[in-house]
Amino acid sequence: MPTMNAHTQRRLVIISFLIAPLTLLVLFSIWPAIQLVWFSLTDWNGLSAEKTFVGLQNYRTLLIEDRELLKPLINSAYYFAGSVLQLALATYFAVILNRKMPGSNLFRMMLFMPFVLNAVAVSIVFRDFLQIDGGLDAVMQLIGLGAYTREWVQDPELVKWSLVFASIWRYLGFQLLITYGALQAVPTDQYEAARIEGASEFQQFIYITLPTIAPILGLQLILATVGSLEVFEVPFLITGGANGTKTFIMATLEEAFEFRRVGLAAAMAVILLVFVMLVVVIQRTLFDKGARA
Amino acid sequence: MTATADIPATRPVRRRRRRIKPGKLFWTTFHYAMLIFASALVVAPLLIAFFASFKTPLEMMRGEKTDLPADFTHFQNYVEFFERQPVGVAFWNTIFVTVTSLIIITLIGTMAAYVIDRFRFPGRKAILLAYVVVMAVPAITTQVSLYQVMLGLGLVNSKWALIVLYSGADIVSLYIFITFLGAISREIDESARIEGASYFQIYWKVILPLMTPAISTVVILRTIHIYNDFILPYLYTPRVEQSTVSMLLFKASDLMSSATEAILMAGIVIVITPTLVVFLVLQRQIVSGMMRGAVKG
Repeated sequence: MPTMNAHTQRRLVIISFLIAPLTLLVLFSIWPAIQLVWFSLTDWNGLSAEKTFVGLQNYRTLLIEDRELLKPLINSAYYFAGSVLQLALATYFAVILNRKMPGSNLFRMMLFMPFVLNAVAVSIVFRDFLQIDGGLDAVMQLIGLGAYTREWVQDPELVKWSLVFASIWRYLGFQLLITYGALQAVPTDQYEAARIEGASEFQQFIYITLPTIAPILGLQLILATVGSLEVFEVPFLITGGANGTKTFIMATLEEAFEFRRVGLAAAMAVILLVFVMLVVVIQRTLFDKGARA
Repeated sequence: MTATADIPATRPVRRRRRRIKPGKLFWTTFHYAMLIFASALVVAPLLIAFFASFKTPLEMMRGEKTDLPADFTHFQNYVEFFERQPVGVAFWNTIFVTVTSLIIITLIGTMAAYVIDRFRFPGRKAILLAYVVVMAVPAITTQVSLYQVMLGLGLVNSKWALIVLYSGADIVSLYIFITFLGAISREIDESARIEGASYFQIYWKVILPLMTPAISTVVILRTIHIYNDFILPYLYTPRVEQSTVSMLLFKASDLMSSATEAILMAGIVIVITPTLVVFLVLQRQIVSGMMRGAVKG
């Protein structure tokens, strides 16, 4: 093969290496996003050939006329509360595991394990675990707490917290790992110095640990906020959305694929997207400020 | 890690620590209690499912969930799950989808990273911006319209739908590649260039080997994700014949009643076991891969 001149070769490599990723980017990410906005302005049912432009009618329906459809968004609040609790627990466990007590490696692995397990598998396990006379009740009976068993999934007040529990069960270890990673950046000689000064463990946490890991915790909180808007798998697989546990994503997919109101579903997706983008923009602003300070 | 290196300088502290204060003893006990409690909560549901998978229908009916099975070699439930469900097909599909997706994302991702990081060309900034924006869009929100794209491509109900989405819509891995390459000095590839290597040779012989750590991070993160994901198989490959183990369990749990619960639990153990084995063997790599990959996520 005759040697190409450098300029041609350069151009060739740029084009040939980028053509596949850019095609995929347009086809599976950018084009669907544009389509989504367009669908949300139509009354399309997902089947018929023509889509009638209806302007902002779908948004009016959602935001003004029929608020019922937005109601599942309230359930996000439970998951948000859950993820704040989860973050607190993850930080606590990460800090004590970071002290390298005997067995801490084993505990870290145990708590992380649920994250690598199949979503459907653990959800079915949990569905059975939380049933009346299911595993949880049996365990409580075993340790003498039999009097406190509840209808974990049937009680409409309790079921949301049960699902939050299932969600924490699955994701706590992942968050623990990230926080644990952040803790490795804390200089150990500072602890040593603080100990000589007689600082308590709690004081060490507040004055040494917390300032170092604060950015990661902030990032995790933002991710948790976004995550709680997008909850789908855990409630879908455990309760199927029964008993008031439907989340906004479940409602959106239901509108699109079961009721065939693609236009309306697209508008719901766009509303969610706007919420998420808002959170991301807030994060970016806060982060940039933090970085400069 | 280096904490023990400077111990001689802190002798007095060590002596003081020897004498365990009651407060310290209390907190240590407390921390262990919390860890044991949390670990028990993690393990309990799984252990109960594991026990159930060895139980006879009679044991399931009469006994407590926490009871040990009478016979841990009672494999009837496993046999029945294999007979009733297309286990082999689902596992084969899972392996095929995972391996194919990983090959595609590794090749495409490292190529894109090479060009985007090492070359300056018109449109480069726009491409980077597009990736950053797209990464902020949660994939789940665009499924409504993505589904129509997939229908148009004739991919719905085919495992290729999963493959193109796990590789083509995976911006995070691409981002990992770009950041990783950005941190590697250009000296090596520039000297290769001076020695007369073509850009293709540099990619293949220099860049790709250099990116091995990033590739292994992506392989770990994506394998875990693909094996465990539910939403994409649920939407795009509803028939188990074309789908992964997630759909196998989802369909099985739909078909089974409480009378066959033990069989379903056997199916769960079948699906979970490979992950657990890999997790135990590769835990260090998985953990460090997670920590590296997750922070941008």
